[in-house]
Amino acid sequence: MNMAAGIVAYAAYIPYFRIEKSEYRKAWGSCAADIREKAVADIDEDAVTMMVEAGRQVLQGIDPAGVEVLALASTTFPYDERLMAATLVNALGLKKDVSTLEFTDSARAGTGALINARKALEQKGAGLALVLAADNPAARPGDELEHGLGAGACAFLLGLGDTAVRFEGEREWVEENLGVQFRRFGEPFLHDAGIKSLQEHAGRSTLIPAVRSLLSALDRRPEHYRHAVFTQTGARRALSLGRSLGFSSEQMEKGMLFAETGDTGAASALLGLCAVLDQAQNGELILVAGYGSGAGAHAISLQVEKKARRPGPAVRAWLDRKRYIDYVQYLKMKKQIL
Amino acid sequence: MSAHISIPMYQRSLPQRYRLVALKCKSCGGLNFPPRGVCRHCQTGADFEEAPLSGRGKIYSYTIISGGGAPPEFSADARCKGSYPVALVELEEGPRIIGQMVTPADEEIYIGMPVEAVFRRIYEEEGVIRYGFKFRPVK
Repeated sequence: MNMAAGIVAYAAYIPYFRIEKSEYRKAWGSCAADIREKAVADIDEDAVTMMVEAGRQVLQGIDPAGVEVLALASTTFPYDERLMAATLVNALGLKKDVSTLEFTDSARAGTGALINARKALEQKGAGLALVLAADNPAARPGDELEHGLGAGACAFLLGLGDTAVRFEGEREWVEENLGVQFRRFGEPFLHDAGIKSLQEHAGRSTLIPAVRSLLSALDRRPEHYRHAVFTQTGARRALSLGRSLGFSSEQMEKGMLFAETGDTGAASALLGLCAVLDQAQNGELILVAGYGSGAGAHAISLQVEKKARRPGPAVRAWLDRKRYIDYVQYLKMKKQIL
Repeated sequence: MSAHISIPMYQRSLPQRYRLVALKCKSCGGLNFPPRGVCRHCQTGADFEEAPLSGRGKIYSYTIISGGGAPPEFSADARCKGSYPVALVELEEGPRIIGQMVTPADEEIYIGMPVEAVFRRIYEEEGVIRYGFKFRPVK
């Protein structure tokens, strides 16, 4: 019988700089995002450097030659064409015959990488899978969509057999949805047609059926879960999605990072999962659901069997390690006015 | 003035720039970083094995590159920060290497400060992003 893959270790990375909501108010008169502050990547950081940050932490004390599967997730790889896994293999010292998977076309990439790394590792039947998700999304400064965009990364190491967090099941759902958070080929900035009903529809039409289908397959109800984590394109939007499914704010609070990080794109749901794992107790069930524009969603049910290894700082420690910058400095770090 | 590094030269030095891979002399055990044809310690050994360095060390000396002082490939970073520190770091394993410092404001830097290597974009040239190491204070 094949061994099941599960999470053995995880790590988070949140860049050092923060901009507060009040800076947006000063610059634009208002802030369209329900952030208190958000994380800002430095000018020399991108999805790849943040993946290396998270990857180096999670591999501490591990022989990198044991990694058989490398799965990457980001909507902001610095090249449209060119294998970014090669840079990660080189920077992390992984072996060159590692199986590589790259997920990139929507914020759903993060949960897609986790699910598919699990499948690929189980197929291999030996070794470890390294999942890296990082994002640093950008939009035009005048665009309200820009106000909520943050930055962050996380890493998961999956193993076989004796693992800490077990995968109970997964479901996917896709449903076409036009005009929400998209970027045409070659364009640097995200666009959104600004149609509120469709913005809500992207998550509602995919994430809700994916989660319901998973719960029904596992014969579970929302109250069975101690924690629920969703992709966060806005704090209120994520909470409202969860409430529609029957989850309480108490179930969602530990994974809610939007007010302090902003939208971390492909890393959003998984970074929330890191924050949950920092505090989760043995035996607890965790529901993770990621979605991205287009639109599509994944729902994943996890059970904590023992404490997963976390060689680096907790999410809370990353959030507290910060320096505030003003809006002009923010525009420079985003390469908007250099 | 720019110190142009061609793409093939950069390609050859990727293990050093990404992972600080030093060469350990098989006759005297000395570490060579960057790699050399003949060991810089015993001046005779030419047979080496790869030895990745930890990236941890202490600031041995530093300088601040301020307005207008940056070579053109670093000018965007320099305009972003106004100025940026460059440190000579003595690594735990011994070699002293030069790298930019990230994160702290200039006034926080001091000789002896514990630092660690981080993976960052160093600059872009010929459309190619050149990744490599910089240093940041150990938390």
